Amino acid sequence: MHISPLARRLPRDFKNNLGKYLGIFGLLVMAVTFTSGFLVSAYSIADIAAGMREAYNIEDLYFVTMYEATDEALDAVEDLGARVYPNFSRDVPLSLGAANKSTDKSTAEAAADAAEGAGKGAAEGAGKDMLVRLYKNRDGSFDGVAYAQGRAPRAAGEVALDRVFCANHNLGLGDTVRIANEDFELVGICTLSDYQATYKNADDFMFNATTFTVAQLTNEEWERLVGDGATYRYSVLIDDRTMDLTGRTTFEEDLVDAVNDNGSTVSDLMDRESNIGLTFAADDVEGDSTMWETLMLVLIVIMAFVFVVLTDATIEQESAVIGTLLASGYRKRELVAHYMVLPTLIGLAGCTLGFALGNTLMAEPMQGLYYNSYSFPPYVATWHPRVLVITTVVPFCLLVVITLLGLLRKLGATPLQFLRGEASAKARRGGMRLPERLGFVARFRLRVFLRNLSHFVTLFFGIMFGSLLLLMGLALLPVVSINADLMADSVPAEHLYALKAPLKLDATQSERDAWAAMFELSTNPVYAGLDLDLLSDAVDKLEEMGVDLGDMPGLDGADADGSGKGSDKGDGAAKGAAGSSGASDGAAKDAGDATSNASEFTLPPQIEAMVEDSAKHRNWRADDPAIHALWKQVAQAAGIHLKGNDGDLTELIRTLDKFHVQLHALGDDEAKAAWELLQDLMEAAEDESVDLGSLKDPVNQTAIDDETLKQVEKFSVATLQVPRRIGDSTEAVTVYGIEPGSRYWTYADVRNGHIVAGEGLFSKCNVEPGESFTALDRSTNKTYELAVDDACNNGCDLNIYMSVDDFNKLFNKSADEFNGYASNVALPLDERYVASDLTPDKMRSMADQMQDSMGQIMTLIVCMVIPIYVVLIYLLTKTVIDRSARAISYMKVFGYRDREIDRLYMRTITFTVVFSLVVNIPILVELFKLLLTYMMADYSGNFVIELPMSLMAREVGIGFLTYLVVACLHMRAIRKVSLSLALKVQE
Amino acid sequence: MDNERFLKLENVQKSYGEGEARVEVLRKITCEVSKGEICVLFGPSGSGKSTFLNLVGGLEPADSGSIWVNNNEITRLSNRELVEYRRRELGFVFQFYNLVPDLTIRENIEVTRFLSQNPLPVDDLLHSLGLWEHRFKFPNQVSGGQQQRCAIGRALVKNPTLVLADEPTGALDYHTSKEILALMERINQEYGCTMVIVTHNDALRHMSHHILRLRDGKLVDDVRNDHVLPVSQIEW
Ligand SMILES: Nc1ncnc2c1ncn2[C@@H]1O[C@H](COP(=O)(O)OP(=O)(O)O)[C@@H](O)[C@H]1O
Ligand SMILES: [Mg+2]
Repeated sequence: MHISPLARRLPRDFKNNLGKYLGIFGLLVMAVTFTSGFLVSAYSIADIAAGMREAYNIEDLYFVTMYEATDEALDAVEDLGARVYPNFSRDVPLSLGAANKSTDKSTAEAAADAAEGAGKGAAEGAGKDMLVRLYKNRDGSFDGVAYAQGRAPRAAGEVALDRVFCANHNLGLGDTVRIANEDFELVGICTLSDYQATYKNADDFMFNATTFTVAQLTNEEWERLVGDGATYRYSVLIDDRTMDLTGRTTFEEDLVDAVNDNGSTVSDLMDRESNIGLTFAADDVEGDSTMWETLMLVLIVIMAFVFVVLTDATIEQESAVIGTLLASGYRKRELVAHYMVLPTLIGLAGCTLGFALGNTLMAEPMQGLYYNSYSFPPYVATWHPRVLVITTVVPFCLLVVITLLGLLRKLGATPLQFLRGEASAKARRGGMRLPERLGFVARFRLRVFLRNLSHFVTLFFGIMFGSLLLLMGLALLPVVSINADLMADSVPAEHLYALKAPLKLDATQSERDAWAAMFELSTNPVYAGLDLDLLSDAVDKLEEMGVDLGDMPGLDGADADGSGKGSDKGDGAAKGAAGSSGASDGAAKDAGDATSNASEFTLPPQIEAMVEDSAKHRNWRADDPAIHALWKQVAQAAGIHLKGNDGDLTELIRTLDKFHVQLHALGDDEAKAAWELLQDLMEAAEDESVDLGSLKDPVNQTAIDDETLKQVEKFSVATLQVPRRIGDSTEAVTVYGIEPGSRYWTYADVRNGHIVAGEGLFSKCNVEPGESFTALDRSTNKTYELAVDDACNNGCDLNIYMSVDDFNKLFNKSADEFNGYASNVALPLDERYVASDLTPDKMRSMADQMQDSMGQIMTLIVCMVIPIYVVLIYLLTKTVIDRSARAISYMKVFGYRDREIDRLYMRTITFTVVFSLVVNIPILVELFKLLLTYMMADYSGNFVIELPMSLMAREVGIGFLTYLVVACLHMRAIRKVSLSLALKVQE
Repeated sequence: MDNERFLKLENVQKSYGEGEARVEVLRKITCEVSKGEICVLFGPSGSGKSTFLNLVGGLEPADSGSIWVNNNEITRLSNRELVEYRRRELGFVFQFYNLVPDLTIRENIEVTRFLSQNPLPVDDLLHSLGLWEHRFKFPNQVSGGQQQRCAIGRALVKNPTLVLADEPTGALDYHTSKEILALMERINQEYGCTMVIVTHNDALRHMSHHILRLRDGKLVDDVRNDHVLPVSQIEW
């Protein structure tokens, strides 16, 4: 086929419209580069994160026991269909010391390094102590380790640390770090697959890769450094790796029972879906991907606008040529083909280059967004056709299709209409009559405006979407920080402690001692053979029989036990002289505290002998009247009058006997220790304040002064699932039972059965004031019908508040139950009973974390949007100048000054741009809200989307500044319009 | 230079292109046109007539030589000064009218009135151009003659001292051409502006005071016509 004569026009067309084609090219390259670059990285990272579960055998859950779990307990768990791996750790102090890069440096260099290190330390960790969590080398059977550099430690003095921490502190292989004041050489830089985001505690609001890290050590070094101080965490891989959350929840309940029934106590359990160390990083990547896809969508819409305008302009510009060609017998098809060539080629080149750049140039910085914060295994790009399609193929097809449709539509005009430049409907209609009383300048500008109206309308929408992009980059962080402030304000006290058990604060020393002894006895697996219920049964029985333990003489066998202990099993506990008990009676009563160790209570030898005998021969009976008589006699001797009938006594004797037998079953040392603890318990029980019968609730081990106690308020919380407005998922809503007239929840009036909820509940969930809705308790699968009377607090608050009485009624709890403390003063609570400590600062620090995790992306978006914005406005306004070139040329011939021409044309454009920017403000606010609401629909919590005026001003300001750049380009173009254009014979 | 010699060219040369492709368009042109004259410039196609007008209009620089208009040596003016010169002194009429398509007839005239300190009243002008009824129409809604009348109105409204018209009747039929020329004649008489009219039409020599003829870039005729006839009496 010979080259059509039309084809020869192509290079000239390209040259003449260089600005336009470069603009399209640039727009495509930028949009495709950024989005494909990001999405390729994000999708690959998401793949890596998703693949980690299989590749690194990541746990399905973990549980923690108070003491090392018994083999029976672990076996019992494995019998449920799982593998259990001890994953013990200990947090010890870490310092980077004078982290010398190498040992063979000159002294001066080393000193400089040291100074630098110190400076850095001061800057980054000023006053902060670093902690490292030590783990044994893992072999890959669970929670595998990925080494980015180096290898696992093999010898003493070697350590491997988390990659992000190393990057944050510029640590390299061969560097020295000090762990627990010993020097270790860094031989490996790695990722522990259960620490993708290095959260120190599961309930922390932010991960910490600067003052906290995780380490690998050889088994020997680990044993040496950790000793007995480990946290006993067990990682569990369920055999059925596909088990869903419901299945796992049941499994986890069974697991707790299995462990607790086998001599250990589960103190903590975490499913993999709740473990932010496992989920946070991947969720972040996923969330950002959604945002970028939205961004790409907006970009595509913008590009569609641009293409529409440009096609329109091309045809208008070419109308004379098109008319001539049509008149000379060219077919429309041939013309369409001709005018498609350049856009198609430009589009193809732009998209290809963009995709190539995105996959090469952009790959590194985009990965950095995540690899700088999260510990993922080394990056491997994976191929995602979807990325190619949405970032490259779609924009390209859009360009081609829009251009094609535009051409087909426009080419519907007759050759004559083209020849007379009337191809557009508007030109055919003729213009509008404008009132004479408007001055010439005003009318002229109005003409320019009217003539370009369709392009200006496009410009308006182009600016709308461009601004939306800009706003996404600018507004997200301020919105987050506004929300963080609101959330911080929603924390009514300086500390909200959620408790795992109703921890008692206002206790006496005796109560604390009693609890400590009780706790040790009940949780230390050494004493697992003791059934403490027997003891409390005995106490109950005694009380029933009229014996108040507070009035009891001292039960102290410690001295006797210590001195005269023989090799016999635990019997020494009861040895000693019987006589003294009566003597100390009064003293104990008057000053129980003072006499703590002085009084003694021992069983008379006969009973002692009998009891001992019973352990061996069991040849007596508890209902034997002789035995009863003996007991009564002993009691009498101790000044105790036993009420009740023989049956009661029989039961008491049986109970105590059973316990005694269990005590005997322990080893020598253990029995002795147990007896000591029992004595502590009894001793504490001498204090009136101690009610041994109700010692099941923990007592805080640190005394808290009255002043502090006075301002502490109890509260109760429960979590219910409430249906969301958008989608069919549910929101986890916290229900608070608080004191009516609480000093903390001043915004929630719950008196007289009032139920209120934070404003956020009404926007996020399908809840209307006064109307009842159904909420589900996931843990019990029970549903509740609730009705909230009023909104309170702010939009970030989704909590439901009711009086504690209403709360207990609703959840069927006893009147004095609670599970939280609110306090303005930090309370020295026993950590093991604290589920979380919520502070306003922690809420605020969430904003910092968002800043960390999103800040770079936002900057990137702004940097990406500004040039796109420039090109967008340039392309959309360029047509105004282009199509007026001839008129501008006439005006120059007539003697118009450049500035006058600027004023006539640019003013109109400027007005339109400013108008669009300003009028778009409220529209943008709504659009942004809509977009964000949908983007955040699946996240928990409610976002108050409030765009401060200053932010909108900034957005408009940036928009206007980019326009100024464009205006300069246009003014240059006006100056470049040649006089000869006017002199040329009109085509 | 006295005021009578309103326009004066001295050894004006102009060429286009370089080397092989170089074309001498105007060769050492020297001539004078007095104030208030209608001067007709004849010449075959490509002889350099338009180039002559462009140089006088300050739209293109001469290679050498000087051009004076109204005592200004415009060949020495900067581009900025040339703009002011055109603004102050000139009115242009093109062969193809060159109206701005999205401005009405009246607005097209207003475009140049805007530039003048002492413009003619637009409404009077519209009446005398016979465009009054058409003033709100757009160029594509009126005939070629009406468009050219509008173009002339546009050139005249700012009350220029020098009107440069490049084949103003080139695209018009006989009758319309005559009408246009009569209009120009009348305006010349009414306002006393100097006119340089480029044309192929030899018959026009009768209506002009001064006849110039170019051939291959050379001025081959430079004669005065002392027997000027009104356009109405000329036939061709
Ligand atoms: N801008 C230009 N570039 C090159 N050659 C030109 C240019 N303008 C005119 N010419 C040439 O100069 C010569 C005279 O042109 P012109 O003054 O338009 O003639 P006329 O108006 O008498 O027909 C022609 O040969 C033309 O090709
Ligand atoms: Mg010519």
